[in-house]
Amino acid sequence: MINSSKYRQLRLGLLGVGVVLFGAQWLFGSFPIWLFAAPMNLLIGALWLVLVWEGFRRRTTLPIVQYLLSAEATYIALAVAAIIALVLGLQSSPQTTSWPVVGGFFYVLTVLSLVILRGWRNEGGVRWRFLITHCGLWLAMTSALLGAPDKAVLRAEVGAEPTREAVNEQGKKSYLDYELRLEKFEVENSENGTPQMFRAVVEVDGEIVDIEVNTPYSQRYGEDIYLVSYEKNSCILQIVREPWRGITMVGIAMLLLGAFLLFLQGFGGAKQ
Amino acid sequence: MGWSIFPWFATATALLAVVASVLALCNRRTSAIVASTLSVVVLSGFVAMLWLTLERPPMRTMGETRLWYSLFLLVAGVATYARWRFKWVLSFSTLLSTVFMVINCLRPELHDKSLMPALQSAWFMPHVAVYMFSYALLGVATLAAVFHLIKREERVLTAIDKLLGGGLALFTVGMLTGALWAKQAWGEYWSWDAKEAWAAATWFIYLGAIHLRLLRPKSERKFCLLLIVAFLSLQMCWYGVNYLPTATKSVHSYNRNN
Repeated sequence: MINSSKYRQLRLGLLGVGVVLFGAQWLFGSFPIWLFAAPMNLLIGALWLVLVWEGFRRRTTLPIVQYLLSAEATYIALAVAAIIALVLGLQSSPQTTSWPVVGGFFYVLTVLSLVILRGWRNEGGVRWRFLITHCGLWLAMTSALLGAPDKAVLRAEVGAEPTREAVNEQGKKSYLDYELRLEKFEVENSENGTPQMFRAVVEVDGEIVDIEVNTPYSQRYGEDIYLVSYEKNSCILQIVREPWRGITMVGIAMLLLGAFLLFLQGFGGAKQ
Repeated sequence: MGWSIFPWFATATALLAVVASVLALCNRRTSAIVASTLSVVVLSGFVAMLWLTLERPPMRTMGETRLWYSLFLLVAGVATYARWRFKWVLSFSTLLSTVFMVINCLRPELHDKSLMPALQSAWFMPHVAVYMFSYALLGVATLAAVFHLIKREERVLTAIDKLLGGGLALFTVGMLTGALWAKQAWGEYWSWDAKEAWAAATWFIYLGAIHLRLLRPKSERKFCLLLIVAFLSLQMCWYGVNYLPTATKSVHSYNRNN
């Protein structure tokens, strides 16, 4: 156990890191997420995991790890996550790549990783539920944080002529490695003129496919094409590249399983 | 065939659900479960018949959506009652389900009123129905927390634990089905719009409450106060966000576009 003065120092240290993160945001603007595209994110992720593992192994001699494994650190992690959510919700364009947001989620994930390592060997009735929910959340959050630099959202205006051109969220032009051409477009309007159904028949590299809202076309693993809007003689397609999608889906599936187990087994409160 | 025979199915479903609710209140658990399961079967029969008649999944109009609400509310009610034996829960699911069935009977023009394209998804109905149920369980947990703050009783605390477990589980399912639906519709699991942000904040506060209960079991007062804070956050998530300036950009502002 660590004494209260060490706790005080660690709390001040954490507070100092928070101030530095806000300072960095003020000085440099948003976190340079593009610097961490693969393989840099994989290297940093591996290094972080090794540090967490080593820290956990030496927890008896490292006050910082003891603190991060304390109940207080867990409450702070949940409070940080809730505050980040509220701040993002109040912004008209959520700054998900700001230094405090990236740093805050990194802290939450570090606490979560250590708690999972500690809970791995725990005995007891709800051990599996603990592992499923915590590992599910860890996978979903890690893939969102480390996978963000590899994610790309492009938009292409597709008409009767084949095109490879698309623009990213910053308005920068790029070229797809396949051709898109609009074969046919259908709209059903309601009586007041609002569209109730729209559907594009698109040729994707020679293959004819139907794309509707809620029915995207999967071009390849981690790359889907969505119908988002339409113009007079063209439609707007959104291409989403998300190589970490599989990990996110496994995380969500584990969280869902954990929620079903919580519903079935119940929360035993203090007795648990 | 089709909507013209719905009032008959709705009456049979509502009657069975009311009988189940009364049986539950009279502690006739098995009979209540049988009656409420029958109400689900009757309404499912109508959904299946409508599906065959329309030759497409009945998920495109407002009337069809309300039909699924009614069905999922009954399913959630019987599942929660069978597992947790809350006597009031079948009355609650019956009331809400009947309201949606009555609207479908009294306003037949809604049967053909199409939903906007993004809402025409198989995720929509379970997402909304599960959320409604979680709000109910967490609402009762909050009332129990207020009661426990005034008059400390161990059995109330045990009830809060049960309600919190069930409510948080359903809230999590509602949130995750929403994320999967958003991925299918727009390519993003989570876009941090006002409603999603308040949902995430509410979820983390409830996680805080559940961890406080586990790690500091004697902090009963703080636990009850945190449940009240979490429920206030839930109110913001449910309807409070509509009054925020950021709500105008929200992907959840469907009524403004329809």
